[in-house]
Amino acid sequence: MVFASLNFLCVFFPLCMLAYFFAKNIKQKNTVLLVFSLAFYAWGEPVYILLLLLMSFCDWLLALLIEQHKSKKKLFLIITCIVNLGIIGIFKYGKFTLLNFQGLFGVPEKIPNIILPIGISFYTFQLLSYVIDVYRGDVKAQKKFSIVLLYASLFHQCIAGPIVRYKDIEKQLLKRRPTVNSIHDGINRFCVGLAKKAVIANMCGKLFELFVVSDSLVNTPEAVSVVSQKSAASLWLGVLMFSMQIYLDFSAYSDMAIGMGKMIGLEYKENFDYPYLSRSVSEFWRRWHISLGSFFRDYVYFPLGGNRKGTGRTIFNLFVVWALTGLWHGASWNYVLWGLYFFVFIALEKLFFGKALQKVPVLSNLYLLIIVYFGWILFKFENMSVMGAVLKGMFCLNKNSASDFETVTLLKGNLVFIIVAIIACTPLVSFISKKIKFRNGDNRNFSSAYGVLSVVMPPLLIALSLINIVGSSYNPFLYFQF
Amino acid sequence: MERNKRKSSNKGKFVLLQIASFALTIAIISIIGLIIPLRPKESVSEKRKLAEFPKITFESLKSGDFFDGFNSWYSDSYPGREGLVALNSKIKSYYGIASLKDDTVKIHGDVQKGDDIPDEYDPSAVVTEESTTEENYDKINANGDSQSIGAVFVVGDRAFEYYNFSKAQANNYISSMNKLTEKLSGKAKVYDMIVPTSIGITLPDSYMGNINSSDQLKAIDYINSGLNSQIVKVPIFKTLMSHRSEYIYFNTDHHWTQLGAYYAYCDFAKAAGITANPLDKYEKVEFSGFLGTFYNDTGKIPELKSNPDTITAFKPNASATMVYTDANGQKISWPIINDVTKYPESIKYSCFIAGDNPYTEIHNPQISDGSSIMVVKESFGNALVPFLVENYENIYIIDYRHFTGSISKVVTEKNIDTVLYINNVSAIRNPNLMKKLDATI
Repeated sequence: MVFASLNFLCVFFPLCMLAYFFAKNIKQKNTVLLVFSLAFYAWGEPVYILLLLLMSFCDWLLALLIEQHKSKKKLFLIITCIVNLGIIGIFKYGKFTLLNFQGLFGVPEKIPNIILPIGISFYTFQLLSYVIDVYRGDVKAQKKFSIVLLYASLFHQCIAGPIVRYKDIEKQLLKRRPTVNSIHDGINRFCVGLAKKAVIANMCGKLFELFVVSDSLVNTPEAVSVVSQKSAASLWLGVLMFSMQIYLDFSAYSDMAIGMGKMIGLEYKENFDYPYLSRSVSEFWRRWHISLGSFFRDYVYFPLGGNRKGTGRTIFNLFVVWALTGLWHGASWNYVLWGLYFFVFIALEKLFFGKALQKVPVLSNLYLLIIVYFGWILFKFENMSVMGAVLKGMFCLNKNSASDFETVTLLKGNLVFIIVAIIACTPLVSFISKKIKFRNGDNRNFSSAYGVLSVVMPPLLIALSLINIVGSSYNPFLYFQF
Repeated sequence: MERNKRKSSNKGKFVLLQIASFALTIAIISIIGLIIPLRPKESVSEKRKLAEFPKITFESLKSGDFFDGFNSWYSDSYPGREGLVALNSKIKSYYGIASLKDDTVKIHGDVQKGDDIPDEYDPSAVVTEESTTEENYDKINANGDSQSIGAVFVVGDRAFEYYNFSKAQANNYISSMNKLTEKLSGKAKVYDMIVPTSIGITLPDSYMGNINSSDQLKAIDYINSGLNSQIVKVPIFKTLMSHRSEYIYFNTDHHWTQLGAYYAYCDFAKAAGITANPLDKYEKVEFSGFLGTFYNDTGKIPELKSNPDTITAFKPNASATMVYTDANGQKISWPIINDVTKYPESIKYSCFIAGDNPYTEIHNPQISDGSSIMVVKESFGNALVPFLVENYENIYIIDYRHFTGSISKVVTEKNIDTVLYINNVSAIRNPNLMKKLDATI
């Protein structure tokens, strides 16, 4: 199930909140959350729920063992890593590994079709961080299995992050009381996230498909001929659309998760901080998918020695972190390439021009945007020949024109939307609203107007999202088939 | 102190109100979703049945099919869906800018370029239509905003379907037609009429040649060049071009009007040596408020809604009778031109010969010369067939998309000596249709 769908908004969410509201104490409230979370997960993956249960159980047990048998805690930690990484290795990377093996050695002949369990990359990392934190003594092992399971399966973040640390919400899992203000903030956050996803991100995705190639074709060899026909301008615009789509989509999901958490008194850390405003690649990765970056920092980079073991080792550590970061995003070489692409720039920044970048504001912003922009091409196209055709086409090397009627038409027909989407990627709106609020804080009429606006916003944003969700389900059959 | 307190309670009031408005909104949309009787079962404009509530079985629960089915059912048949779809298009119409010139353009669909069109079919070539460059056709100017949606191009309040030539499908068509002609050799004469679509004829001049739509005349020439010399090609492109400023294509639908079909009928009459009836001999009936496939395919854009089509149908004078056989084998008599005044806005084109049926017979008792014609067609043929009623005693109509028998068999059985194939050029790029066309030979 996804948040920006009718069945979530009209069925799952209201039922869950209603049950939560009528639950009397924290124990009942947690039970409600757990039941709904498992239902949420099972809704999409009825069989893989067993995997989630099994992994949570193993990690719950191992954390307890680590705490109780201090002398053997290293052994248990190794077992934890083997279990967690083994399972994700099989389910996420098994097919990829076999395919590469087959490519090199010709065996095995048949490759089993392993379907990727939804959210496995997120909940595995959450559970792993929990056990490691127990090992490090940062947090006490949880005696109740249901609490660990709730932590891993909580529908707010189980499927698409943020990767919440157990130690950050340990207390809130056992005792929480949302204030009226946090509910208010949560609602705002949720509604903004919903509209960001349903109204803006989805349309950006649709425009990418129109400018470049439809998502149903993008990873097939047929995409090459489609992409080769597109004008250069069309491809440039298409990649721009994808750059916005991926940020808005992903950050909207975090917004909704954070918002729903706030509504019931769970505070999750921020996952995005307007990354496109960064001035270096290192900064970008401190502001993009923050919970993933900090996971690799705390559990890979630092344990490897970070930057305390000399330049050569630092570079090696960075290399490991970025190869893994790339691979985490998907089991395909283009993701590894994408990770290493960032490694190169981060290493260069560390060694040479990181400090210089800080001194040239606008230029460094441009530098970052260009690097990230081309990075998304590596990210989006799993099929290397499609990726090549796109890159060539962007410089008119496919015998394609610089621009054509369709490109201009499409651009003009969506220019207002595109500008709105660009603004949505920046903190402009929240900056202005804070500024106005601050300036006019004492003005009663103004605060009333602001209050009225805050009351009107949720229905408005939900209605807009609903219209978009239903509108995009509109799928007329080709008349020739009828 | 007092003032601060009042201010904060004022703020607190809004905070509570905001929470209430959120809860109420969610409650309303979920309750609307619960009102099962309000849920539509089929979409007339999308011409499909909406998703049904899925069956609950152990298997479907285990595989997750039930949940997918539930999701589709829930959103597909959400009450008021059609209205929300139209509203969504209305909102999206504000996404673009109006340019300073009179033709603002918008695209909303995947335009695919066609294959290059060779001058001639390999190996032998019989070109029946020459290039049109020297012809003097009426000018059509764009007025109003234009936008292009999906593979549909919209200029102001008129829409056109993009056409991309497919060499492979054109070759399939050629070989099917040649195969058929060989089979019918000595029994019946085969006429082939390829109907251009509106984007090749009535598109405003400022867009002709500028957009990524293949040249239809060139495509038709190519196909004709490959057809067996025994096939009589009915060249209607130039005729339609010379009438391009008339109402020969619908604005909101991909079909031609019956007026357009009439001009093609005259060309056929010339080629077949029959006398075309003058248009004023027919009784005219009008059905207004037609919003066809373009309106629906573009997601009901307001521009097209503001300019609905009117179908002008010409009723044959003869007291001819029509019986069609539907997909279930049921025989049903039906008027050749049916009154569709009360039909839903999107399906009014079905007024001609009961729409698309696998097999239809029309008999004109006022003619007793035994003359027979078979018309093999897709939906473009529907508008042309009524004109033939005055010329032939027996008309046998086959919609090859739905017909499952053998055309050559019917020709032999019914002793038919004239076979007319009518296809719009856009059908000859569709692999499914070309497969079906071949299968019915």
